[in-house]
Formats: sequence, structure tokens, C-alpha cells
Amino acid sequence: MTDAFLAGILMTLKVSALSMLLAIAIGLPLAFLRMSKRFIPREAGVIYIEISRGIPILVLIFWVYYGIPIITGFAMSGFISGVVAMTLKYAGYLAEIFRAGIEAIKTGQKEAAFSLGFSKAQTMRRIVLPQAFRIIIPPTGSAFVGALQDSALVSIIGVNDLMRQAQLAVAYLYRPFEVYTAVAVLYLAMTISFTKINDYIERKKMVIE
Amino acid sequence: MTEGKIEVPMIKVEDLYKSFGDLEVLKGIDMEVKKGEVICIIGASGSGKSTFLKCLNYLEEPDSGNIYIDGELMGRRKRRDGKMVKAHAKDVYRMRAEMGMVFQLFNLWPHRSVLENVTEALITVRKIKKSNAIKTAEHFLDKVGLIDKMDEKPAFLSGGQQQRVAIARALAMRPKIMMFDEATSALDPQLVGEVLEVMEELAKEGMTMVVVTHEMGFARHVGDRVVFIDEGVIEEENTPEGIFTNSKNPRTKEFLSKVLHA
Amino acid sequence: MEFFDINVLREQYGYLAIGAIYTLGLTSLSMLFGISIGIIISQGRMTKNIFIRSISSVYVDVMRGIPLLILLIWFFYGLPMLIDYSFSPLFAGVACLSLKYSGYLAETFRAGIQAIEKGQSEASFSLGFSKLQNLRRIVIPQAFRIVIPPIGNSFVSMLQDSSMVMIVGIWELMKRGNSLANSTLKPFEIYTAVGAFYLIMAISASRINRYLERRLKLVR
Repeated sequence: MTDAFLAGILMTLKVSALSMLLAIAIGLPLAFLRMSKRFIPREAGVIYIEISRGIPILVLIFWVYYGIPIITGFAMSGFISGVVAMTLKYAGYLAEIFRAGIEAIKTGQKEAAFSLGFSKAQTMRRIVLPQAFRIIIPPTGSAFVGALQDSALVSIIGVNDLMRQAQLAVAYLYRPFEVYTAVAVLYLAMTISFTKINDYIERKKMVIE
Repeated sequence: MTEGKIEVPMIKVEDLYKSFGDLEVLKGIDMEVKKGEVICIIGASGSGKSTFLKCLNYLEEPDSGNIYIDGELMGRRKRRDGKMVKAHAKDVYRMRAEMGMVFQLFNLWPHRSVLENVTEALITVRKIKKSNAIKTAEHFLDKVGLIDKMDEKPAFLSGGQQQRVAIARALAMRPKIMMFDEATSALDPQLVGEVLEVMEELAKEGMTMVVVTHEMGFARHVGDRVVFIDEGVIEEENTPEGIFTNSKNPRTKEFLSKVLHA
Repeated sequence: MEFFDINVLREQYGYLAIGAIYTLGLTSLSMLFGISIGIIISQGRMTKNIFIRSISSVYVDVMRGIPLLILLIWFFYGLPMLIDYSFSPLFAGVACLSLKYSGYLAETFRAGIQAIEKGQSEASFSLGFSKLQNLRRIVIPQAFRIVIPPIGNSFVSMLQDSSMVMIVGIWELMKRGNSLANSTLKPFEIYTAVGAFYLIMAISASRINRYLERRLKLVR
């Protein structure tokens, strides 16, 4: 039985982590799109971000898992559908976090760099992003904790994560209260530890500054 | 037995100790302030002057020692079985209302107009009718010369004006004592004068005042007694001449030489 | 097969729209409870009593850390086993949404109140205000303005999380969409429409929130 739960935890972590990584990979370019001075890229960014922040993740999951195969004739597994849906949702969320972090670096610093002859790219790489990085770590950590919680929804489309293991266990043991309480505690152990680690990192970074 | 009755000091402080965590800020302060006296407290930053002031009206709770305001013990009471315990909250509130405090950063309430800042305590604490509170407020705003600003929000006033409103706000409660916590330290130099003028006027009218200040001219000119606090203890206490001109205490002289040559 | 069958939407639009109204009502009710509980917990977080402060902190950590899905399933399927009492789906849905968000809202209130500089309260106390008078007349009127935007954002979040209550059988927007997708066999169209409904609600709520934010800033 514990093997099953461990496998469930592992799957939950896999889904969350993979989605976050992909969301970061999409979110960063998306943030730059959003900050573009040209109308079309900027509006495209705005539209994507607004849509991804307005649609519930459950709807996205169902839409990807049930809806896309019908029109494309191409079926995806629960795992892939879940990751795709979560990535799409969190990319928008992270894009806003990244944008806030980058815009927080005062123009004065950029001006100093330009006056010394830095190019825009060099300024971004050597001056802005290293500092923005420190700012975005805590909110990104919080987003990951959110992803951990949202990942439970993929159990509905058959992914064998911790939530699904709970339901299988209940079907087997007929003890819903004990099983669900135990699984709740397991989720809390994950989310609270990550949150505490995140808080610790945030405090340490403030001391360094 | 004696010709006159023994007058109870307006403020009496016995053996006051206060620490913040490991940091001991007040290390046994004794002080007496008679009614109508103007006491000026001077000393370096961090010497405990502000903390001392805030202990008087229990904004900070001392670790040990006694504080008597007009003969009444502040912050604590004797239970029926003789044990000393925390005072009832409403007694603390009542006593605080009899003491006025003016802060370095003015601490006016931004969401209220000047007039409302002055009437707020009258209405909320003294439960005075709004119309009467306004009359009182207008009187004191006029006294500090700001009656024409009464409907403005504090953000639109200069620092000196804001501080004068703060003084009016405290005076409107007709306190027995006025305490000033570096009231002019946050002001631009040209605005300091208008505030000191109001304070001097108050002193002349016989208000009991405890003034923590860096304005040595004021201490010399208006103070009845000057108290030099250094590292949590009273290093020296005397008349202004005694401190500024005739001090024999090396630490006092060192402090004064640093400050007066600034 | 057609790419997008708009007709099924024309027929079922009303059915989904009513679900959207349920969703709005559900969310609004849960926000009210969440705010009320959140205020109480935030007071607990700021009190001097270590015992109460710790319990409040634990409460906030738990509510912010527990997946809503598991809270719902635990509350509706698990808890009844222990106390031998079944909850109605609506009760379970509102309770879980309220409890979960009360954790986030408690932190919002705490931050809002602590943002009011200590000096202003010192001024109040020096004039003889009681703690309650200071809160009511000085702190809360100002904290209110700070706290409205985050509450608006929580509302938008909750609108979306409310989709999870379908799992306990409430016939709000998501459950109706799900049922419709299964019966019409047109999940793409249906879930697109469902997404559109949520999106419209979220964007409207955000717009109202931003408007309120601007209005409150001006009044100052």
C-alpha cells in the first residue's frame, strides 16, 4: 500500500515540476512579448495572459483531454493532457510575475549601463535579469505550491497521482475518512515544506542584499 | 502641622527599567516634575529619551519601576490581596487622555481633515457632542494659528503646520501634562521656529511640559530644568545655566561640545 | 465532421448561463463567509497570546496548503463517516471554498492592517483611545482601501476554483458543462463555451476591481 502512495506522490511531483518548468520556458518569452513596444506582440501577450488567468484549470484540463482529440483526431494521455493544461495556465501567471520583476529594476540602473556603452541585450543579461531573478524567486515558489495543489485535478482524467491513489485506496479499504485525512496530510507536508523553504530563501536573499 | 499642604508632584518616576530583548535602554531612572515645570531632556540618539517619554503614558510598558501621574500610579494597580497587577485598560486610557503627546513624525491621521484630526479624540474618547467638539477644536486651531486650514487634509500642509495641528490635537483634550518627543527634529530648519513659538507660549501659560529635544536654545531659554540622559541613566540634572555653562560632568561637557558645534 | 458545431451552443446556451449564475452566487456567498472568517483569523495572527497566534498560523498554513479538491472530497465523503452526518452538496461546496480562502484573506487583512504606520495608532493611544476605538476609527478605514484590490483578486480566483465543487454534485457551470459534454458528445464546443463563460465573469470582475482601486485612490 505504501508503495502505491509513494508512486502517487512521485507522479504528483512529476506533473507539477514538469508543468512548472515548461511554464517558465513559455512564460519568460511571453513576458518579453507583453513588454514589447510594438502593438501586435504586446496585445498578443496581453490576450494570452488574460485568457489564461480567466479560465479555470479544470476547464482547461477537460478541454485538452476531451475536446482537442475530437477536432484533431489525435488522442493524448491523461498525463500529457494534464501537463499541457497546467503549462498553458501557469505560463500566463508566471509571465506576469516575470514582468513585475523585470520592471521593478529601476530605469536609473539601465540608464547607467547604457551610458557606459552596454547594449540592450547586455544590460538585460548582466544588470537587469540577475537582480530581477532575486525578486521573482519567492512568487515563483508560491506558484509551484499552487501547481502542486492544482495537480490533484489530473486524477479526474485518470492520472495515477496521489489523489487517484487515495480514491483507489478508499475503494479498496472502505475507510474514506482515514484515507482522505492521510492523503490531505501528505499534500500538506509537501506544500508546507516547500512554502517554508521558499520563505527561508526569501529571508536569506534579503540578508544578502 | 505645616503651613501649606505638601504638593504632590505632577510626575514622579521611581527606578524605571526598560529593555528591548537583550538591549537595556533605561537603567534606573528617577525623576520628579512639579506642576507647571518645563523639563527639557537632552542626550544622544539611542540614549533612551524617547523610550522614557513613552513609558510615562504607557505606550511602552516598563520592566520595573513606578510612575505616578498627579499622584496616581500609572499602568498598574494593587489588587485586593495586595499583589501588584496590570491596571484596568480603561484606567490607562483615562490617564492617557489627561496627558498630551506630540510626536517627531506628527502622526496626524491622513484620512481625516485638520479639523477632524482635532475633534476625533474629543468625540470618540470624551464622548463630546460634535458641535461642541468643533467649537473647542476651532479654539485651539486658532491658538496655533491654523484655523484657516481646518478643512484641508494633512498631506497638503507643511511639516511645521502639521506639527502645530498635532499640538492643537493634543491640547484640545486639555491635558495636565504635555510631552514632546523631538517635536522639531523632522522639520526643515525654517519651520522649526513656528513650532517652538507655540511651545514657548504653552510654557508661559503654566503647562507642565516634558520636552525631549535637540534644540539647545529652547532648553536654555524656556526650560526650568534640563536633564541629560546618557546610556539609559540620568547623567546630570540641573538648571539650564548649571548644565550649559557650569557643568563639571565630563560626559555632559563632551556631549554639549559635539552638539553645540554642529 | 464539422470543425465547430455552433448549433449545439445555441440550444444549450441558456442551460449553461444558469449554471454561470449559480457559480456567481456560490462564489459571492463563499467570499462573504471567507472574509468574515478571515478577519477573525487575522486578528488571531496579530494577538499577543502565543497560543492563539500559533493556532491561527497553523490554520493559515493548512488552508493555503491543502488542495481544494482534497478538502472537498474529505469534507463531503470523509468527514460524514466520522461524525455520522451527511452534508448537502451546497453546504460542502460553500464551506470548503470559504474555509480555503479564509486562509488567503486572513493574510491579506493582516498585511493591510499592519501597513498602517504604528505612529498613527501611537497618536490615538496617547489621546486615550481604546484598542477598539483605534481600530474602528483610524486603522480600519484606511486598511479598507488597501485591502479591496486583493479581495477582488481573490474573488476572481475563487470564481475559477468554484469549478471544482462539481465533484460534490452542485449543478453549477462546470458540472452542467461536463454533463452536456457527455450527453451531446461535443466536448470541444461545450468546454470552449464553458471557458468563455468563466472568462467573461473573470474579466468583468477584474475590470470592476480595477475601477474600485482607482476610485479609492482618488478619494484619498
